Amino acid sequence: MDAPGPRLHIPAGVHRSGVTIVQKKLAASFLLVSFLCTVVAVAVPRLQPDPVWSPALMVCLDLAIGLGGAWLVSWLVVRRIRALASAASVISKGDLTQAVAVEGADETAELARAFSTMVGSLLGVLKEVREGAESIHESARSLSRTSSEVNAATEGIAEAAHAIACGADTQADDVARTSTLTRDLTGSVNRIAESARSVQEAAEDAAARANAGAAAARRAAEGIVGVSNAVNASADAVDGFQGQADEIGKIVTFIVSLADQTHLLAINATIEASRAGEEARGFAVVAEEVRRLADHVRGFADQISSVTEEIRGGSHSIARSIRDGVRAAGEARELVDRAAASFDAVLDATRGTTERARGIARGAEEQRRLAGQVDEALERIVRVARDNARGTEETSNATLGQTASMQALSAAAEDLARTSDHLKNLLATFRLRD
Amino acid sequence: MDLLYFRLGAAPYAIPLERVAEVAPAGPIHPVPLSPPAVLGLAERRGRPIAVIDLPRLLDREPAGGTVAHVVRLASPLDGAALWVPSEISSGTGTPAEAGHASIDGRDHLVLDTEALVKRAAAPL
Repeated sequence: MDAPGPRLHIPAGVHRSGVTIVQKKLAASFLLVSFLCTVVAVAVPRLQPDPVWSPALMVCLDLAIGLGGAWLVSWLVVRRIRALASAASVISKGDLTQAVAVEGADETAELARAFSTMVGSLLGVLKEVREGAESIHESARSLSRTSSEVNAATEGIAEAAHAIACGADTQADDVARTSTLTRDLTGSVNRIAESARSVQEAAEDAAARANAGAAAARRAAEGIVGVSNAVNASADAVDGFQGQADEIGKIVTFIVSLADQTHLLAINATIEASRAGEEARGFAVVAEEVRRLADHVRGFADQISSVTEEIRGGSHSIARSIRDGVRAAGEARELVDRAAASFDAVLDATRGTTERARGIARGAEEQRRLAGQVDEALERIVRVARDNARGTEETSNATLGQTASMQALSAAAEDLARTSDHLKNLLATFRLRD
Repeated sequence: MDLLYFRLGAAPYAIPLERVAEVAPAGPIHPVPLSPPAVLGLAERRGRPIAVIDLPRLLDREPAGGTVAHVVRLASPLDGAALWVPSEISSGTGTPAEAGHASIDGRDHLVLDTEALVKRAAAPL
């Protein structure tokens, strides 16, 4: 009883000492067979006195009774054990649904009862194990799923971080390019400012020249007015000269007339003298002298007349030239006035140009200042973008490390799920009552 | 011999001085109807009418067209007639040359016969 080993729980109602119920049943069967054989031995000779048949019949009947008793005894003992054996065989195949019939109160019934109790407690344990395996399986699946999702999400995060880093790099490059463009812009703005300054200087120079030109044109206009006045005075003088020449012409005409008359008078005197004869010869000579004088006078008068005509013609051409000169002076005056007006217009235009060039220079200066500010801001942006890219790259790397951990976790969850699957399969070989 | 000389166009002419009564500037000449074609008309001289003969026409010479014109009144007996000479007139001494010509200052002049001229002018009458 105190021997080492598993302590067996002996259910109540099992007799461990004295005469067992099976022994009692065997004894009862033996008694019954004995009684029936006795009955046969008594009754058969009386019913069948034949000496041959009676013993034969007796043997047959005793044999039948003996066999019947044996069968009865074996049936009584073996029947439940067989049922138990078949139940145990079913259970050994994993089917725990089979109920074990428990009848009577003998040792076999006790065995069946103990067997049934064992199956019940085994069933309870297996149910709990199955539920636990289910729960583990579910948890492993869920863990695997979650870790997969986390993994995917982490990979997404890593990709996004990488993309952000790349984007930040690209942004930094873009900003750097923009910065270069801004510097180029600053350079061209500087050039514009330079050009505007040179335009301004050129415009101021042009304005100075236009001023000088306008002053010169005004002086020229005054000079032309002086020339025009002088020429007009000359024209007046020539006109007066022509009047005097006309006077001379009149006088010469009068002298010619007088000379002609004298000439004729001399001829007539000669005629009269020739008619008077030799006495008037001296008179004829005087008349001839008078005629010659008159002819001389006439010749001189003609010379005077031609010279006067030449003077008159010359003075005519002089007067024409003077008139042309006056007209030309007027035209020159107009041209000079127009030139002065043009110079004034140029002056106005250059004044506008100077103003505009100054405005352009001011605008370019402002643009240069703004471009400098933009450049500084861009440099700051580049710095921040580079820092961001670096940080994001680090984040990406960290996320990738996390991803590796998560993958390990996921693999472990997968393993767990597989193991729990296997457990479930093992448990599935048991058929359990619900 | 004393001569009165002048040019008609390019041709030089001369008249003997004893055939001339007077040289005067050409005054107004009044045309006379039905007079010979060589007679220009009548002029007035010292209250007397004088017949003015167109000398260029009579000599078939184109008038010079100058502004100066004279009338040469002829001496008696032809003192009622005068020659119209549209040119300058001068007087001088000439040397008789071949028939009807005279040389004045070395130049040859045709000496006009006044009587023949007047007769030719009056001929159609």
